[in-house]
Amino acid sequence: MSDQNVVDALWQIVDQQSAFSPEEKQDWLERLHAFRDAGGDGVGDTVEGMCFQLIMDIFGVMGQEAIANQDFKLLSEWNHAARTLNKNLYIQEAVLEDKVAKLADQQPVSGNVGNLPQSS
Amino acid sequence: MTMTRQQNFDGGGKGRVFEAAKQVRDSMGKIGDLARSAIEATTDWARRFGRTREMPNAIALVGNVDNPRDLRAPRDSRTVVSEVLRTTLWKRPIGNGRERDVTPQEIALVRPRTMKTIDQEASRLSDALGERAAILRTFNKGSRKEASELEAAQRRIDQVEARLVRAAAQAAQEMKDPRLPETFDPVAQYQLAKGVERTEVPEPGNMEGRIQAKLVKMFDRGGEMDKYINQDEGTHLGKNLVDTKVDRFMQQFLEKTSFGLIKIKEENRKLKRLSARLGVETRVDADGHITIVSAREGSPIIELARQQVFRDEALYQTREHPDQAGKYTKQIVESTQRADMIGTYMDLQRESVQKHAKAEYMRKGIMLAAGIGVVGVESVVALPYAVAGVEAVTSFIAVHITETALAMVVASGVRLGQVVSNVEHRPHLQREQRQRKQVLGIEASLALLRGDLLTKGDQANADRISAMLDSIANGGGGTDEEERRRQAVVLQGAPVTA
Repeated sequence: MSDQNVVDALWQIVDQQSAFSPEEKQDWLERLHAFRDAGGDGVGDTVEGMCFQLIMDIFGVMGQEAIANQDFKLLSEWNHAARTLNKNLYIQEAVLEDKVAKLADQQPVSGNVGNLPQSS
Repeated sequence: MTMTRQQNFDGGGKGRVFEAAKQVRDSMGKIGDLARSAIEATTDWARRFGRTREMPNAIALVGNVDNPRDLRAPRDSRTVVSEVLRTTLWKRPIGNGRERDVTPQEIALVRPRTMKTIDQEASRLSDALGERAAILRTFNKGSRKEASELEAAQRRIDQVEARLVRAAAQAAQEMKDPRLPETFDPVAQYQLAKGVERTEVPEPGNMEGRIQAKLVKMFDRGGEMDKYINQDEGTHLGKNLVDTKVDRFMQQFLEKTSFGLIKIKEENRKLKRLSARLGVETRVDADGHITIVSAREGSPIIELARQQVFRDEALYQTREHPDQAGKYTKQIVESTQRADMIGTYMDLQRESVQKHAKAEYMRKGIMLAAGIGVVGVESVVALPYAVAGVEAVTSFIAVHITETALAMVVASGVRLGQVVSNVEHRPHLQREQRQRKQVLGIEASLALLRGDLLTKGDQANADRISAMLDSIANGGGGTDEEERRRQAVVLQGAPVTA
């Protein structure tokens, strides 16, 4: 499946989440575009990482609803599921850290970037 | 790619999550492991929580697992006891979402008869869960008989669970047995474990007023929530990267480039996300201190305060009326359990948001190092990179571009085409933002810039802007590849002086 299809599929999921704020959707949009534009995993992001994070976000909204509805049994179960997924986010984080650490070993910061003016 | 919504998924929370997981699985065969993990998590959840009224969803979940026989066997009675009583008897919260085991001395205070009751009910619960799991494995969605059996099994589970909770409350009560040494006071121990001074047990009074007072206290500087959102790992992202190669690498950007702005951006995003999850509105002071300015009714923070007040009230009543302690024990157990669950939710959300922001921070570092460009940042951050010639500012959010920023882009000579074409290439972005009429902002900025150029007598560049405006007015040219290429050529002309 192409990166474009991955992006489309995930965006549809994001777009369907009525409880997501516009900012949250915008964040996701930017992230998905970045993933596609940079040729997928090349940016350090992975499909797995994005999916875990997205599901985690959805779990967060559900947990919030459970609290608002005083459904503590449901909340307990959401917490259980969220904890499971958070473990997977640890894995994703470790992959990223490894990638950055390797870059730090390999090369200095690129020259043209180093000459950038400061913004305020 | 199939995106059909299954009939079974109407309304139920797990249905919505599972639907998301399933879409992911259906859409991306290459992430089989991920989909399995997500589906297993939701399936396990649904199986354990398969109440009759939600059974269609639970069945749909079970039915969609690759191999239904992989479902784990019912837990043994010890696990059941552990889970049911985890936050009531065998574990005690000690703050920050952590718990400690009760001591053997504390457990020994539970009378044999109560212990026997707990064991018996736990065993019955295990049987009832096994019975329900067995029905679920063979359940035919159309079968009324089996649906009825499931309903009966669930009723038994609910009844046994209720008896277990009562037994746990009884056990908790027995821990306050007068045979105990005088120094043992469960209420005081609990409060000490939570870091609460004995004097903070509230006087009875208007509950809503006390909830408000509790909230104010929580949000005050140094208060419970203030510490929660202002502690280092909660807000100061960079400090999490200290002492690692990652940090040194990132530090180079912080020193030599505008990367600090990206960091701030991620900090802000993180704060917004966390605020949304906690149901609050926050404000950042000039010194970087975050203040909660409001919280909506039903939000996790309000509910946390409410449960804490309920618990404190019951603790107070228990202390003041020891002869009626049994009456309040259940409330203590229940509100403590609920407050802990909300606390766990909040911790999990902070952890998740934190990871997200840190990952984004590192990801942008990787991209910059690779010379790919800046992703997903506001124009004020991305512009310097564009001007400096980073080849592709891949996710330039053009709608945020101000007139000044546009002038800078035009001055760079090559970036404007990139920016505009980025908008054109993004159907979702374009649709979303057109809905919000934000594209009008680009057009207005371009029009102003054109006016400025004309005032200065720069007809050539004013014409370029006109061409861009025409392109946007005609739908952005997103479907006309030839037109887009022509525009790109036009816009990559000699730099202009804005």
